[in-house]
Amino acid sequence: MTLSIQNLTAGYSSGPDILHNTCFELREREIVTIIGPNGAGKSTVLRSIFGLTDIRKGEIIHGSRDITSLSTHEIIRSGIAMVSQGRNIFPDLTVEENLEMGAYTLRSKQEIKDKKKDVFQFFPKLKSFRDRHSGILSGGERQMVAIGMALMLSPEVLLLDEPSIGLAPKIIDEVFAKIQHIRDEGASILMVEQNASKALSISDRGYVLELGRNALDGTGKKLLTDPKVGELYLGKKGKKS
Amino acid sequence: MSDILIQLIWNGLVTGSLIALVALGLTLIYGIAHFIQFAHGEMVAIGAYTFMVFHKLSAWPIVPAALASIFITIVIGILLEKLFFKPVREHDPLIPLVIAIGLSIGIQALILIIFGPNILTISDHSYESYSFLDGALLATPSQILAFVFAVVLMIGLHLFLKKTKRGKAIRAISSNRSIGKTFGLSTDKSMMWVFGIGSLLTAIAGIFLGFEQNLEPLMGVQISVKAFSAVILGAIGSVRGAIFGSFLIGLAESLLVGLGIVASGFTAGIPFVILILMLLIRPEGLFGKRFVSLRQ
Ligand SMILES: Nc1ncnc2c1ncn2[C@@H]1O[C@H](COP(=O)(O)OP(=O)(O)OP(=O)(O)O)[C@@H](O)[C@H]1O
Ligand SMILES: [Mg+2]
Repeated sequence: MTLSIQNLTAGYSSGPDILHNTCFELREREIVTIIGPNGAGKSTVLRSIFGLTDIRKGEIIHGSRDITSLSTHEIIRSGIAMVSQGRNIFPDLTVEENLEMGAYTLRSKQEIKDKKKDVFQFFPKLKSFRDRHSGILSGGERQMVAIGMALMLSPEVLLLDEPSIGLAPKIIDEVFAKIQHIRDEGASILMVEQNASKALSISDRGYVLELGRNALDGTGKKLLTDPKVGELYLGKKGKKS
Repeated sequence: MSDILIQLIWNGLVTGSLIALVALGLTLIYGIAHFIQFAHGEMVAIGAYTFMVFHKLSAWPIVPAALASIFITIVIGILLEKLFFKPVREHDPLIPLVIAIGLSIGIQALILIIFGPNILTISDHSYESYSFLDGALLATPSQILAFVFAVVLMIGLHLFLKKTKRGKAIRAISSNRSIGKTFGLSTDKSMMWVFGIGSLLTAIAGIFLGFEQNLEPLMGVQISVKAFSAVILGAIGSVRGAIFGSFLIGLAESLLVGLGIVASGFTAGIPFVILILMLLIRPEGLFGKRFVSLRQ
């Protein structure tokens, strides 16, 4: 088990509980997707793993290490990276500077240089844009910058919050192909998606989150053919929040 | 005619340099904290008055007195951020703005209480002007130093922001604070640096302004009004814009008044007239971004 979330109850500062006793598991080299309606708390799960919420109960284990109360900085250093939902880049910085900031927690300059090379190899398009302000890029290009920033950390675990949001169907396929590629190179991926059918079809397993509670889980195939999932989530292809 | 023009341009460049030293801090603080630091002008006064205390009252030589004054101004600037602005960082920018206005008035009052309302001089010594171009240009040592310092500091700041990890992190946090958090960038550290750098620049501006003019409790307001105009003129949040706006205002003041186009009593209005014209023609500022920034 590379990431295990047990009985997590969490919220924001002094607000109410958003997640109630939720459990998720991510095994090595898996792609796991969390689906659910808007406001269910999907992003809150990822942010909790990253130390950005108020965790009230439960624990988060990465490998054999309890990371529940670590700072974001330490969580990153433990090998987890997150691509946030929506506005997930530094628009006033160039593409290359964005990648460098992705690697902010790395100390060695040589390492940052090498990682940059790797990311440019993985997203060749970014290389030709390296000196451009990322704010002027298209949605798909911005998502590549955002994923590239996370890849700068060569994470063991990659958290992706709605990587397909706002993208054209063709670009979504490109992004999902890249996600599979990242998994094939050894990372484990926990992803939140609104585009349930496409996401589940590349996922090993999936979870349905409703009103901050686990509602359903199973293999990607099983959820894809589940009548309840079909009725509630597969009819709403490409819906944006 | 051309002699006076050279002199006026020089005076304008010097004034522009001093405005720029104040405007740079304002624009950086706005960029990262998203509010107008109204008490930034008071940091100029703090720099000038502390220098006067060390140099004139305690008879320290210029360099150590300047270093001490710069150091104290930086510490005060960082403390103001930690004590007053950090607690309301996640609130509506209107709240830090109101706090800043309060601080501005408070610091002015404090200076008034400590040093009295009278105009003071920064040094007992008076320095000879240098003459250049067969007397066409007279420049005081403090003018020359102010201009050189300002240019060096601008280049230094530019290199710091573009080339160093800390500088890039400051720009990153200014651009999207919440994403900064997800990559382990510390907002606290960047804020401290920005307020520290802003205070450093104002302290230097204060010392030179003290040599050029005199010290009075409201000296910070006069220059910060020009700096506000310069910052908005150039596009708030932009470093290049602040520099350009500052020199534009400095030169406009010097030339318009010096050539008799505007009566000297109206000097204070010049930045505003330029600003209003600018807002009518190009509301996003000279260096305004064409794309929408994803500020959070
Ligand atoms: N920073 C925050 N502070 C307070 N409440 C928040 C914060 N972020 C989210 N919430 C609340 O938590 C709940 C769950 O939000 P979350 O973003 O996790 O949902 P989601 O499932 O990701 O939704 P979406 O599909 O719209 O992205 C919502 O009611 C939201 O208002
Ligand atoms: Mg979400």
